[in-house]
Parts: sequence; C-alpha cells; structure tokens
Amino acid sequence: MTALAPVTAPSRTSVLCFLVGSMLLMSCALHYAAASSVPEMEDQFVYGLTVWDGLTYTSGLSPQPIDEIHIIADSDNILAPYDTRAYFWPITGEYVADWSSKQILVEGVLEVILDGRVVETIALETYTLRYPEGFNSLNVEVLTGDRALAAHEEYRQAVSDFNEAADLYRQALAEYNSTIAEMFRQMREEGKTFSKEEIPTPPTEPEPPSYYVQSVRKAFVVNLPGGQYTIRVRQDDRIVPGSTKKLYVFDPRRSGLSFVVRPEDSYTVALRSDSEEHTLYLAKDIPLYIQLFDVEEYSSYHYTRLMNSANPTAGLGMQNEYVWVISSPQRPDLRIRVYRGNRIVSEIDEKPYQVVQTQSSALGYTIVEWDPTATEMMGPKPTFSAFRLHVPPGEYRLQAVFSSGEPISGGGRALRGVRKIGHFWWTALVPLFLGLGVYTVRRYSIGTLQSAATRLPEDS
Amino acid sequence: MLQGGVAISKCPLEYPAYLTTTILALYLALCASISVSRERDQGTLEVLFCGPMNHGSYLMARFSEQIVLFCIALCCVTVYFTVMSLVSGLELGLRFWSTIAGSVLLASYTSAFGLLVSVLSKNPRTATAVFLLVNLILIGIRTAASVLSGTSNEVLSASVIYLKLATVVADRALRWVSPFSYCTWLTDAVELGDVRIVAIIVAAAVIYTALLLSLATKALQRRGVRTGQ
Repeated sequence: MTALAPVTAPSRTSVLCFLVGSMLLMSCALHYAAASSVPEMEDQFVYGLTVWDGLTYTSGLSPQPIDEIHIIADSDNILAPYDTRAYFWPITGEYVADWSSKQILVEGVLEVILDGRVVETIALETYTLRYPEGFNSLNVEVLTGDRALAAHEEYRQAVSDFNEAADLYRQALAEYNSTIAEMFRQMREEGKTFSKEEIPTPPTEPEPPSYYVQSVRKAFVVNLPGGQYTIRVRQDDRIVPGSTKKLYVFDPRRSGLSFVVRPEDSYTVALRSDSEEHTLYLAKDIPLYIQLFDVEEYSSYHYTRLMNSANPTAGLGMQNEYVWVISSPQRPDLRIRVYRGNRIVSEIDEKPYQVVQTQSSALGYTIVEWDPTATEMMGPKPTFSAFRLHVPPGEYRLQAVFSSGEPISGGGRALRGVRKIGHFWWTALVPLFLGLGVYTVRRYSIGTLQSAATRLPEDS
Repeated sequence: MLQGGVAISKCPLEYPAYLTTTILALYLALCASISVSRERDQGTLEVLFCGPMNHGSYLMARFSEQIVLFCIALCCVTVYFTVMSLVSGLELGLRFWSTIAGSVLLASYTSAFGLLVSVLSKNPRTATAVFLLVNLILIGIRTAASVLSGTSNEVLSASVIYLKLATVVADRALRWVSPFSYCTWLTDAVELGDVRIVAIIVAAAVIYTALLLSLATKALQRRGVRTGQ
C-alpha cells in the first residue's frame, strides 16, 4: 500500500483492476500450461496399421479424425480394427493411441468399396510377421491362417528348446567351472599334474533362434490393385461408427537401380543417383565406392502419408512431387561395366572394404580391401561392401550387369569429369555489351541522319 | 553442388536455360504488349490501315516478328550453352533440349497474350502494367509451388504448410493455362517418355495461342485503329 500511497483514488482503482486482471490472466495461463501437458484422451475406433513401405513393414495408426489410409498396391497390408483411447500430441504433431489403457479388437468384416460398389469383403484373419534374419533385419514376411499358427508354434518350440539347452548349458558350465577349480586346487595344494586328455572341454553355448516370429494376432489382411477405394467395418447389419475411410492404393511410377556413391574422402556422406537421367560429375581424381540398390519411384504425397499415417499435415503440398524409395537390400549379384565410347575399359566386382583409422593422434582414415584372414587386425566384419571405381578424367558410361553380362534395366549412368568455369563469368556480359554497341551505332546513325536533314534546307 | 569432389545432377544447365528463355520470352512479349497500343497512341496504326491491310494479318505479322526474334535469340542461347557445356564438361541432357523446345511454346503464348493486352489497353502504360501483373502472378505461383513443394513439412509451421498446399493446388489448377507451369510439365513428360502428355501439352499451347490471337483480332476490329477509339 505504501507504493500506492501517492496515487490518487481513481488511478488506485485502475492499478488494482490491473493487478487483479494480471493475476487472472496468469492463473488462466498456468491452467492452460498444466492442461496442455495432459492430452485429452478420446475413446474411438482406430485402424492399427502394419503396412508395406517398399522395403519392409512399418507400423502406424489411422485415428478417427484422419479419414484416409495409403498403402502400396499388390502387397499384403495389415489393418487391425481396435477400440482404443487416442489423443493428439502437439509436440510431434500426430495422433497417438494409449494401447495400454484400452485395446479391444472390433469384430466384423471389412468392406472394400470401389465406385459405390462393394468389390471385396475381407474377414478377420490370424496373422503374424516372420523375420527370417532376426528382429532387427528388414527382411519381413506376413504369414496368415494356419501358416501363421504353425510358424509361431515352431518359433515358440525353438525358443523353448533354446531355453532348455541354455539351462543345460548353465549346469554343464557350472560343473565344468567346479571341475577346473578342483583341478587348480589339486595342482596348488597337492602338486598334482594333469595330462592334456584329463582336462575337460568346456560346454558349447547354444545358439538362440536366428529368426523371430511375432505373436499371432487378428486383423484384416488387405492386398489390392491400385485405385481409390472406400473401406468400412460391418458388424451384422450395421457399419461400425468411425470405420469408414478412403483407401488410396498406389503403384510405383517407375523402378530402377540406385547408385549410392561414396567418395573416398567423405565416405560417410553418400550421394544417391536413382534414375538413369542422372550424371555423375567428378571434379577430383579420387576413387569412388559405389553400392547398388533396387529403387521404386512413388508419389511423395501418398508415400509420406503412408509413413506418417497419424500426422494430419503429412504430405500436404507434395501432390506434384515424386520420391525414389530403396526397395531391396544391397544387390550382391551385379557387376559394373565401365565404357569409354563403345569400348569396355574395365569390369568391376563388388568387394568388402574396411575403414582403418590412422595410427597417429591426427584424424584421418584409409579405406583398404578387407582381408578375411586378418580379422584380428581388421575386425570380424568389413565396414561396407562396394564397387571401387577409380578412372582417369574423361567421359565414361557405367552399366550395371548381371554376372551373365546381361545389362540390368535402369542400371546405366554417365560419368564425366567436370572443369571449373568460374573464370568465364565475363561471357555473361557479352550480350549486354553487344546491345550497348548496337544502341550506340543506331544513335549515331540517327544523329547523322538528323544533322543531314537539318543541313538540307540551308544547302537548298 | 560438389560433395567430396563429386556431384550428381540430372541436368545442371536446365534451370539456367529455363531462366534465360523465360526472361527472353517475357521481354519480347512485353514489347508485343506495348506495340499495338503505342502505334495506336501515335496514330501510325491509322496510317498503316489506309493500305491493303486487315486486322488479322497485322496481328499475325506482329506475332511472327516476336517469334522470329525469339528464335534468333534462342539460337544464340543454345550456342552459348553448348559452348559452356563443352568447356565445363556439364552435360546438356534431354531436359535441357526439351526446355529449349518448350520455350518456343512459352514465347508464342506470352506474345499472343501480350498482343491481346495491347489491343485491349488504352495506352502503353496500362498494357505494360496489366501484362506484368498477370505474368508475375503466374510466375509467382509457379516459383512458390516449386520452392515450397521441395521443402519438407517437418521444417515448416502449420500455417506455411497450408500456404504450401494452396500454392501447389493453384499451380496444379493453372497447369493447363499458365505457360510457366505447362512448360515445366512438358519437360517432365519428355523425361518420362510420355508421348501422349507431350502431344496434349503442345496441342494445348497451340490452341491457346490461336485463341488469344483470334481474340486480339476481334478486339482490334471492335476497338478500331484510330487514336481515342
């Protein structure tokens, strides 16, 4: 109140009003801040998605507010109808499901509608995902029905066998360790010696299953040709609310072979050439390491929406763009043929390479061919496998071929040495000076004509 | 852009060629847009029409002049880029040649449009303003759509994403009428080997040009050739 003392009565009221208003605003802001950190959950029908992305399977979610799903044509895609609790998470800008609080499978059949007509009815089916090279591998296959059950049973049995073998191994290892300890004790205390044959061999550690099979679930397995469909879930004679969505099934526009190029002095930052229209320009005489992958070109809009199905703004404004997507692991079955004109100058095979750090404290590395007999020095696995290309400056054509020599479609690239042309900047000014020259000549001609015309009456 | 001494590019000279030919076409079309209104303004059109001249042949002559000038300039541009390609080692490529060929369509459309604006305008200043305004809007939409669609949504705010969507939708809608959009589309179609789309775009460009020239002829007949008409 001391601070308010010199203030007159009406202005004191204003200050009080201001303070009360500020406090109200602050409390509102605090309330908002507290509320914004706890998202508003909503019970809703969603499709849990496991969709083919061209290379492997990607998980996603199609919540009720987003009325479209995008999948690649002629591939198995899993649409699991669930009643769950979902919310919008503004930090990542996407919808998220709280599966742990509620996840009830919605029974029914999936109706696929094209041009107002039901063209396919898909029943719920048991399915599983099988990872033949382990869970972290990109190689995944969808198994349905009895095959799914059999694969999961086989995997469960393999895991059970492994656990039993691991138990036996642990027992054998304990026995082995105690035997060795006893032998050491006898050597130490009694001076007993043992022949080589008397020393027991350690037990062999069992290998866990090299593959993985997901638990069996139920969902709709959708595999459709390209087109724009509508889908909905029917339960007897009613449509499940929120289950009607547009289903965009899209095909690749083109397919080809991607050249992933790693220059020797920056091998971690690769450049990609996905189409045959690309030219590789070399400004330095350096070796290149090239890796080959299959690629497919999709609409950016559809592909981005496929990969970010729960993000309402994903892909917006990308309707006119296309994106190349790697659709296979690195191709090990190809060779690269190097042409100069029509003449083959070399044919390169893919080899494993190891990146070796320099021995001194200075930063740097060299890339050497991996030697499988020197794993102690080089490590158990090569850093990467690639085609090493080192050609003198010039104009070449690279062509990926099968081991039989037959060229692979989309596997050609031009390779050209490029020279710096910065010192030719002045050529851009040639038209300007030419124009100035023409302008000056014309002005001079007009001036001459005018002076001739003005002189004419005097002479006459 | 070189990275570790290596660059991968589809056609590094396509964009410079597109820029050069667009500036050329616009400059010549701008000249066309002020030609008729200036001649009418100065009274030379009236004198010209005293001879055996009709409105259609006058405009065709004006249009042909622009196209011939453009083709001469285009030859110089092509020679310049070919020399630069030989000197630098940069490949010209299919997209470059389709850009060069497509620029003739661009020049014909903009010249015909310039003549129509010129015929309809009262004076050269109005003609210039209208011509520049319309073309700058079309170029602006094409450029904004091109820049924004190449930018990932992850780095854009929600409002810019919707702006991006609006420009892309506008560009898609204008694809059939804006020469700046359909010439880019033509280059893409040539790259994909889509003969049907190439034929449709070329036919559409020819039809637009003919339509604009006939509209300009009708407008000139209605407005007459005298000053102040």
